[in-house]
Amino acid sequence: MGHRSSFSVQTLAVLAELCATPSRWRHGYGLAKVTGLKSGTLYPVLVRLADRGLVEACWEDEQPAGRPRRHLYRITPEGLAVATTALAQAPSADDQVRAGSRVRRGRRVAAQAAPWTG
Amino acid sequence: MDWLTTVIMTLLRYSEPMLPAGQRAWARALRVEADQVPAGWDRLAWLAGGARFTVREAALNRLGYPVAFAAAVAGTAWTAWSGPPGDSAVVINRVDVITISVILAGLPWIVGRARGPVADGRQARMIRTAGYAAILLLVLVKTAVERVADAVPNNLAGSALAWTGEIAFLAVMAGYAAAVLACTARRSPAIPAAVAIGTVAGVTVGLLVYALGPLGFPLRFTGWWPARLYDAAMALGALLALGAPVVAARVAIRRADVTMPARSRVRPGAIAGLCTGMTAALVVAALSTATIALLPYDAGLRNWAAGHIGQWTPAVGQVASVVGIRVGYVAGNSAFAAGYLIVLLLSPVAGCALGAWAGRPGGGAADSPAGTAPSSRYRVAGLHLRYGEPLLDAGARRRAGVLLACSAILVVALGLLFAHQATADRLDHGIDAPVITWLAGHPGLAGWLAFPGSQLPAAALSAAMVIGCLLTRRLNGALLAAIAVPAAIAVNDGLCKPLFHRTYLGVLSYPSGHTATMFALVATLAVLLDVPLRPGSGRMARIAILAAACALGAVVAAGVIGLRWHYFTDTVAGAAVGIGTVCAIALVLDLPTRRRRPSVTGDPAGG
Repeated sequence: MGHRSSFSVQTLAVLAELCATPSRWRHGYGLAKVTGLKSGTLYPVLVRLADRGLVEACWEDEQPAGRPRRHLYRITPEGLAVATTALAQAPSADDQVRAGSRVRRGRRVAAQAAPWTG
Repeated sequence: MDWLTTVIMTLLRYSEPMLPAGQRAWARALRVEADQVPAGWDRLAWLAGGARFTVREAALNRLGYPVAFAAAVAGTAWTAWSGPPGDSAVVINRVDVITISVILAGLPWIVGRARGPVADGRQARMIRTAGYAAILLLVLVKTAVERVADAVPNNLAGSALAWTGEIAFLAVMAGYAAAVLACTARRSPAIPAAVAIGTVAGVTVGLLVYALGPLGFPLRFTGWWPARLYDAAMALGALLALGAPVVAARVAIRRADVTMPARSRVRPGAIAGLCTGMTAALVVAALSTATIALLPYDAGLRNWAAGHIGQWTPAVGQVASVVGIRVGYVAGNSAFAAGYLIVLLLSPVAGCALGAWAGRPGGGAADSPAGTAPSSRYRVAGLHLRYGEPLLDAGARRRAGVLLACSAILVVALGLLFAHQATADRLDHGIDAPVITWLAGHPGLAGWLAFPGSQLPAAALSAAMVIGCLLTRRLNGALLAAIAVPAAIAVNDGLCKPLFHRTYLGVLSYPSGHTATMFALVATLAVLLDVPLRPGSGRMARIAILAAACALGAVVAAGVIGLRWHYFTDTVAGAAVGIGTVCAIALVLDLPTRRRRPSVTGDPAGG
């Protein structure tokens, strides 16, 4: 399936973040923190990616103590392939959006390797 | 600040049900996540983003689209409602607008029950919105044309023909709206890529066809070079129009899934072709009708049309010959152009058949598993189809070849004999005179006799044969029935009439289009009945059906002679054009099955 690389820098940032830990389920606020995107931008991006089958979403199985169940996101195998291609074509896009959001929000971007899960 | 956070949280919670089902989980996720965001400005900003997301989705879906639809319907009704006093089109226009509004408003509910709401994503919504907008635009410009075409003294609204045309038009529009809704629904049988590619191909073809003939007729250029260039462009355009559904189908199949088994490739192919045909017809009909609607109000356009379309004189009264968008009109020496209703009817059928053909097993759409017989079955829209046994067995193929050669020789020989003639010769006079005299004694009869050969009945008969073939699972038969009449008309009006330039009362007459249409239908029926449903069954019945069809063809020929539209020899050549075209199409359609199964030499049951 030949997806064209027509992703915005925000979408590329989300894809890059999901690709960093492809097997882990992530949650929205965590992704927002790492990518520096606002919720009003992040969620439409996630919705579009899920529509295209590049990201899968589900609710947490068990009810955790002290907080409601979260909606979790993970990149699909197809998404991984598409994202790898797209990121290879625009290697600096991810850095650009991070740099931009760092300046905008004055917030240090968490390292990609930060071992947090949803 | 806490109170503001609480207020937004509450608002978000209660606005969630207003979102489409697919978006609710996302809005809820966003709200739930807010608990994890540090209280204060950060949480407020998070919730503000959630509010933006919800408002955009909810406002567009629950309010935006219905309001836009209501405004578009109200605008159409307001424009179409009034008319000059005594204009009978006013009644037709009002019925049209009310009916189409009810259909467009009610169909989403009906389709929603069967296929679910609109699919997620922007593409489905865009196609749905554009489809609805195009249908409303077509209705709007059609009412503007009717207002002029049906005005006094061309009062046509009272006639049964006008109302039959209206009912057919509304039924076709309902079909288009239902197809658009079904293709973009969540549980759609269509693959989104096939719909999108078909739509893009259709828009391209529609714009191209419109550019080549903005009023539905070939343009006329005076200079030698412009005329030759235009002819070349027309030939290229015809190729592109025929090739577009095939290309769209192949691209859609490739985009859909490369691992798809060969037999399930037919469906995306058929759907891409259907979308191409539907979109192209809608674009051409809406744009051309809009141009026709502008004619009475735009002197520049009238002058341009007068210079480039036959011997057409730019007067408001002449627009009446357009008779709405339904029948097309006689432009000076030119012959009948296909009416837009016919285009709207046949284009999707032809597109679907061409697309399915492009996706058939062994069609070269992609590698097909070895040994897949051309008659293997596959599904299209719930029907188990197969490409079909060869249309003609060995004997019939020989007969078809001989018929094709004889028809071509007859048309060319008679054509050379009568080229540039403007009166009847002795043979024609001997046969025409008694027919004309006899029919003159029965007023109105000639019109009825010629009626089966006109466009609407021919389209209905073609559609019936296509449906019959689909029900008996013969894809190649459906393809033949869909393209037989348009191809015969194209050869007759596009090639022979201007080439031989024989005229009757100043109008190009050789060969007769009515007769060509009728005999194309007869020949199609003959080809389809050549392979019976059950071996050896109903031989007498088939002969009787064919005899009746031939008799009907003769009756149509008598009708056009009685109407003084054609000489006798025009009808003979018309019959030859119809039969020859169908033989040629059948022989071409049999090529893939013959190539794949060279050992098949004959059908023992062939009649």
